[in-house]
Amino acid sequence: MGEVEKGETGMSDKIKTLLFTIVVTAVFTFLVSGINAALKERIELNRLVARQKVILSLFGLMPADKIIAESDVPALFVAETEPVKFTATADFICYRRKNATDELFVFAFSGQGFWDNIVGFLAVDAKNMQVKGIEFTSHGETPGLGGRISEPEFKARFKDKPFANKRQDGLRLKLVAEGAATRLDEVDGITGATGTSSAIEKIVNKALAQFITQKQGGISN
Amino acid sequence: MSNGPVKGFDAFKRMLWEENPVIGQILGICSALAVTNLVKNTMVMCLGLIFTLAMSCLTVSLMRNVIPRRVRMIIQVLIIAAYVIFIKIVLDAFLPEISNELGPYVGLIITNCIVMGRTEGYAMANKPYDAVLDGVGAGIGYSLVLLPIAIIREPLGLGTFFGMQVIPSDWTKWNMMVIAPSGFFALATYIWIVRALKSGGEKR
Repeated sequence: MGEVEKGETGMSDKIKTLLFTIVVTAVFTFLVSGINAALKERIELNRLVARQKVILSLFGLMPADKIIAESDVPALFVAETEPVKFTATADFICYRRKNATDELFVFAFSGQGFWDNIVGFLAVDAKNMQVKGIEFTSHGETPGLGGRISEPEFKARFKDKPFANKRQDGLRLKLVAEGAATRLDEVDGITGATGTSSAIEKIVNKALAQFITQKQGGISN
Repeated sequence: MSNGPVKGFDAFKRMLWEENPVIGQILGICSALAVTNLVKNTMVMCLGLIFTLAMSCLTVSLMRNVIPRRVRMIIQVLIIAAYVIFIKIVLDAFLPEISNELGPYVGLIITNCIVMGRTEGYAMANKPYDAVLDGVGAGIGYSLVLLPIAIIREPLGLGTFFGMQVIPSDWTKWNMMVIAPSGFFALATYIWIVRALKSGGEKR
């Protein structure tokens, strides 16, 4: 910064500076990792609860007028849902209601968004082949534009959309310009977020196709 | 910015008004634009910054006589980063939803120029007591700009205040107020008003 730096030209000063930096770095790294280790379990639990809440809400088990304490979520999750194992592959994450009489499935999806990966869950009625709901657990879309995918109003656009048949263009559901959806297999996209809209189209179609393949392979539990 | 003989409560006070880091120096506006659409998030962000400033200034000031001049910036960033990661971990553990909504902005406190500015510009040359007051002052000065902006943006944009509905639901929400550009307008207007008040019409 303009001043003449005195006394730092000698070899021993250089070594001192280096040692000082190493020691300070080690001390702060140690402190931060200590705190991280101390709170790690709690953070993991929070993530798990957040995920379980999303799945429960897709099953309609988190009504807005009933407040469920965070600490009750894991128990409720275990009591109400069970994982579905498909014969085809073991790593397809899918849940259904315990002792379910309907064919409602909630399964995980992920894919490349406009900026970052978009991860979430889809709820489908496999009997009527309709989408029942969609939730995003993480995304990095532009706030106010693509970020609008996490708004309830956008998510509601997928409700009751049929996906049994492919359209002529090979898609099961097509995201069209906002307000332009006229057919049942069309979903309104987001104006100003064409990149996000087409990413969602790709991800959802892939996830639905995957689910159909898995479902046709049969359930092993 | 003088590193002059400003001590004690004067160091604290000048940060609130005279040398307010956001109004006077236009520092820290990245987060000022990004988090001010919700009062709750703004509050958490401000508390995070006040904590980071207080602790970093204290630590840097305590170490000021032993930090080699050549590596002082690296050491400062290291200290700031440690405190910010601490905040991020605590938020993840105890307020996961807010942490999620704030996304990268908590982490970005590390690069908030206000913190670097205060540690390098003041704490490196002053006693711990003064450095903490200066840091807390800068943090509160930042909050004094962000909170009013959030208090304007949230009700107009979402019809809520602190998440509670305050404006009748038949009010047409100004979606504009929620997205970042309105942060620019609100911040600019705020700075304009404050500067006009400050100097009684700044003379060129």
